[in-house]
Amino acid sequence: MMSTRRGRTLASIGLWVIILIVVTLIGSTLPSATQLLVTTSLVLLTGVMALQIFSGNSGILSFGHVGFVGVAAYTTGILAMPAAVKRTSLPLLPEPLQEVELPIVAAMLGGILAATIVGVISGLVIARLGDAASIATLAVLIILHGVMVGAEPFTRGSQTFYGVPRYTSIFVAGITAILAVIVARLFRDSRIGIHLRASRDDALAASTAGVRVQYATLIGWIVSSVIAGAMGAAYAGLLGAFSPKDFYFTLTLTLLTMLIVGGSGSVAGGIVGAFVVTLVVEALRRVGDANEFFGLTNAGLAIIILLTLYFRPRGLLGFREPEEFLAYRKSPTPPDADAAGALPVRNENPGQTVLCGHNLVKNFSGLVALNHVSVDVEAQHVMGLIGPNGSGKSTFVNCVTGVTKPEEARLTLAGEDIARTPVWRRARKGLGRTFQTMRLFRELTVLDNVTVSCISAGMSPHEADQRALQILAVLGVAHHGNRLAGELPYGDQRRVEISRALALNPRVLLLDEPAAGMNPAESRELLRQMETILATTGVGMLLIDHDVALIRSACDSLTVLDYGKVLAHGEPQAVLDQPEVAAAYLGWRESDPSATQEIGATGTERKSL
Amino acid sequence: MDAILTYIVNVVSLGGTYALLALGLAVVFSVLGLINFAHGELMTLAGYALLAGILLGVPFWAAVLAAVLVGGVAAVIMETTAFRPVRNANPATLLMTSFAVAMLLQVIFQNFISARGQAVPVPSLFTGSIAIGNAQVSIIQAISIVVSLLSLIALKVFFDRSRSGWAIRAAADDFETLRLMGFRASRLIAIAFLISGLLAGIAGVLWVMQRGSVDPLMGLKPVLAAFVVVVIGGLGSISGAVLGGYLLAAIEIALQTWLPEGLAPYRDSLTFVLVIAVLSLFPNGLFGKRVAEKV
Repeated sequence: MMSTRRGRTLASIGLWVIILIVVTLIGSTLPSATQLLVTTSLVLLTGVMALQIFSGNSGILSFGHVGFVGVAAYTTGILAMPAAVKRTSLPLLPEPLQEVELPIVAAMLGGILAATIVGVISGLVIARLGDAASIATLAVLIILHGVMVGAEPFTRGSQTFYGVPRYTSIFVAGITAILAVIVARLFRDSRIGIHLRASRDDALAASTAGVRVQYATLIGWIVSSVIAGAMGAAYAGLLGAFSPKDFYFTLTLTLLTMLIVGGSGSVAGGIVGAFVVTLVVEALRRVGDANEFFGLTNAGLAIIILLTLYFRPRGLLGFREPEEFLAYRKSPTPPDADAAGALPVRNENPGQTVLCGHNLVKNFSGLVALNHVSVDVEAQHVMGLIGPNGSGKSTFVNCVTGVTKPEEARLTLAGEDIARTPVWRRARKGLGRTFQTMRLFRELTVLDNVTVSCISAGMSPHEADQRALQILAVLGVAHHGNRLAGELPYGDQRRVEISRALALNPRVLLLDEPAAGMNPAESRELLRQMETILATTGVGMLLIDHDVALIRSACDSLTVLDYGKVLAHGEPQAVLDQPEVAAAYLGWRESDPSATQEIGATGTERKSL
Repeated sequence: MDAILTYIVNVVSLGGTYALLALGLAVVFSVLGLINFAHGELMTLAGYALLAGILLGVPFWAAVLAAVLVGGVAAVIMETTAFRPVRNANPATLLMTSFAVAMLLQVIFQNFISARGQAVPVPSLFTGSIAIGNAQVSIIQAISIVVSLLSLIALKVFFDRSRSGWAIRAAADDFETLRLMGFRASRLIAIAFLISGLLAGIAGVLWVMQRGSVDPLMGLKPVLAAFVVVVIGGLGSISGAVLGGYLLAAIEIALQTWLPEGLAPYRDSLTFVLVIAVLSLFPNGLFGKRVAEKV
């Protein structure tokens, strides 16, 4: 059961639901003061789950969620408050709302709906921002706080809003928390959740693996606003009376501490954090009250955050769910029979041009990196791209995949113009790439790294895992599947990156120095694997490398770049024999002695160049 | 006409303070990638230092000088104690660390100084106002305009002429390369924090003189505004921070002056809504260049 993603997710949900039911039942037998503490922690847990869904998966710290909690609390309060109470507590409330008196569940749903609407509107902006997103979430908090203070007829302004029925028993809190945990755990391993986690580790690499980073961020934000709304709906009935300052920095600090102490990267971390911090806060509150120390809980929370970030930055439980950690040492079940046979197949005719890159021009503040470079890649063929350092090889790949915007370019993929297509869509249309300096999702498992691309190619997470495992098997790294990508040996990381590119079911694979840092035996092994891929999938390949032996045996044709211009193009041996090509390499060696190391891998090949 | 003159004076004086704060944030962001939540507490600390100086009977100019220096020194101490352990962490961790530091300092101010605001007796010399045409400009506002402009000019000279200034500007583009070129990271970071703290100190003194009091949460509101300024200006853009400061002040004062009575309670919210609207059109800020990631 634990061997599949679905199995692990369900087992984990089952376990946490049972634990939370037990906590709720035991809590209900406790004396009222202690019971209230359990109820409060369950309500706060709901809010932590909201933060986990967004911040934990996206890596973007959010200060705005407490605002959603407030919006939902006031809305639920207004909807649930008896009309008779409203006449005294909210005399200025507009007429239609005066008479409204909804059943509790309907009022709570109304509160959640209000938070969701605010979530959708703010999310449309937040998702577009990169580094600035965290600060924008802070602006969301300030805006919502200002509205709560300003909307006096609805909220009594900064005065206490009272008269909400205290409907949040420990059972209401327990059910809310359980639902929140289920949503958070399901989201984490959903298509969007996996994509969002990939973007957390490396947004740019994620987009080249077909991840719509903005879309995934938006969906994560909206789902988390729903759960934050659920906390607000329950919180209103717990407090009964509250004011806007209850939904400001102190609550933000509390929820963020819970998230960070337990470990923002996992649902389990959030749950553990919520209970641990509740206990600490309660203890501090008693000490503070006894000694008349103002704000001791806030100080305690701040210190807990600092200690966690200094000594255990991923929190008590880290980035992985416990069940994922249990699977860590085990190799995944190997895929059935012939893995290579399961590789995706593109039915292009061999030799048919699939990628045309014509007249690419790119300047970096005056430096001409690409000067009218044209390179075509054909199906089932390998086009080699070589040239001295700085000759524009990687820039070419970056321009083709959309990572860098060229000044001029005519780009077609399988006859379709892709010059203005966003990076993620180019990836989904069939451009798979690796990076010269590897960019894996280091905090994700090896399997998840590849699953990300399979999902981009349209598979469900379950199918994606199966396919990812098969592809990893072709590259000979399937046994690492459950380990974190960042902890693999260098050569194996390269293979995982190739697997990730291959999992897009690409028409063209652009490999930027795949053999860099590999020893000759590893290079030969890689070459053999590339031949398998080529023969079975029909993919076209653009191969950049300095290893002339690899280039000569792998490539069907070869283009040489020098100072951003095409120096030579044609059959590999003929190109390598041209004196200008040799001169370009020689000139590079003379002017840049530090680079000899890099050509060292070619060893004896240098003489024949 | 007078209304417009008053408006301009208000914008230039408030905008100057925002610009100083935002610049302080931008300088630190350039070298560390840290958006320092505790910047406002540096301001508050400078305010308390000013109060202490006045209460101790030190000449006013000396108290002001001491307050500004306290801001600078406190910033350097903050870096070495609180931020050094997480220096190479991701932006979310850095932001969270500074948020915790800010919360901690607020509690310390509340308990070891006072939870309530303290009146700061500003010399009567600064409390009057001068007439320009028919408009009244308070002396403190005039001082605030002059001081913020002078500080900005001094900073411009620093960035253009000094080696450290060049280095900080270069760090905004690529700190790693700068380190490889032989700049000592720790020294550059310390200088950045010192400048940032001095700017917070100047802003703190101006703020306290205008309000006539200092309280533990004083720094929160202006620094939240400065955060937003930095983002509108374009994270890491130093000139963007200055222009953003005046722009935010222009929006804020305009709403303050001309917003219909009924909407007045929503003024702060509306300011930030406008800011968010600007950001949604310019996700990298108005003056921020898209810093191309090295691939």
